[in-house]
Amino acid sequence: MPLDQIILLIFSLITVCGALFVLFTNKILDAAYGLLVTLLGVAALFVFSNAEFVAASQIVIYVGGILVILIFGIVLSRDAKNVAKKEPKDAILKGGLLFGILAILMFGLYSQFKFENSMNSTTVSVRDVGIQMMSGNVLNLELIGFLLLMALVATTYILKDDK
Amino acid sequence: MISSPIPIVSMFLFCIGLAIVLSKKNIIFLLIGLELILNAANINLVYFSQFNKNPSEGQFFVLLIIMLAAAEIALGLAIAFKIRKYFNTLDPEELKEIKEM
Repeated sequence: MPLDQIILLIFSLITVCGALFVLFTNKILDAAYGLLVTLLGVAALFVFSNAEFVAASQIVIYVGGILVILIFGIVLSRDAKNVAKKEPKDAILKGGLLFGILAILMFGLYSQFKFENSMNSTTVSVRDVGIQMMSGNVLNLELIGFLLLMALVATTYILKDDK
Repeated sequence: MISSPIPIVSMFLFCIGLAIVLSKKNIIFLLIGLELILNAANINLVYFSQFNKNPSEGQFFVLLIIMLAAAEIALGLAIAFKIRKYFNTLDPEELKEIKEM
């Protein structure tokens, strides 16, 4: 087994273990840390799929932006009553059972597909992604930027104190 | 079956995210589960687009999904805070007034 396959397996295990930790934990701050591990592992998997630019933006936007917002939200809302309510024990069992059933179903579906073994991958440079973004897909980019602006304006509107 | 473990990781992430959304009793946990589901879709897009003739197409859409996730988490957290302020709970099972509207 070549070395890169072993490293890929290790990163896959890290990703799945972080997600499983999110599923089985009760404390929400620990869940955010598990999500951090999972997002970093996903960035490593992007590198293994020849997508370095996407991996960098995954780390910058997801880990540096979204996760920081999430952790700030959790920490700021911790002192409230009822928020830190304990989950009942059977909720964990229910989550594990659900995950097992879903995994078996998806695996059964997955093994139906026949993939060609002779698929050859092509590497892509940051320049290609930039040309793709600004040549044929400018409308999509503008729409997403507009949507992001509207979402942030709506967030400040929702969170303002109403007298 | 394919030899790479990456699509199987994507499958596991989707299953775990769906199990979190279906079983947890906290709205912020639901947002975390949604993030896991979006990441599963991203992994599939990036992995299978590298066999495409134009592999940057899939990567572009992954960038769009990441931007959408940023908008979604900001709005979701704002709504969760408002819900906590009005109903003093974050359990989606207890939000009966929203259901009956």
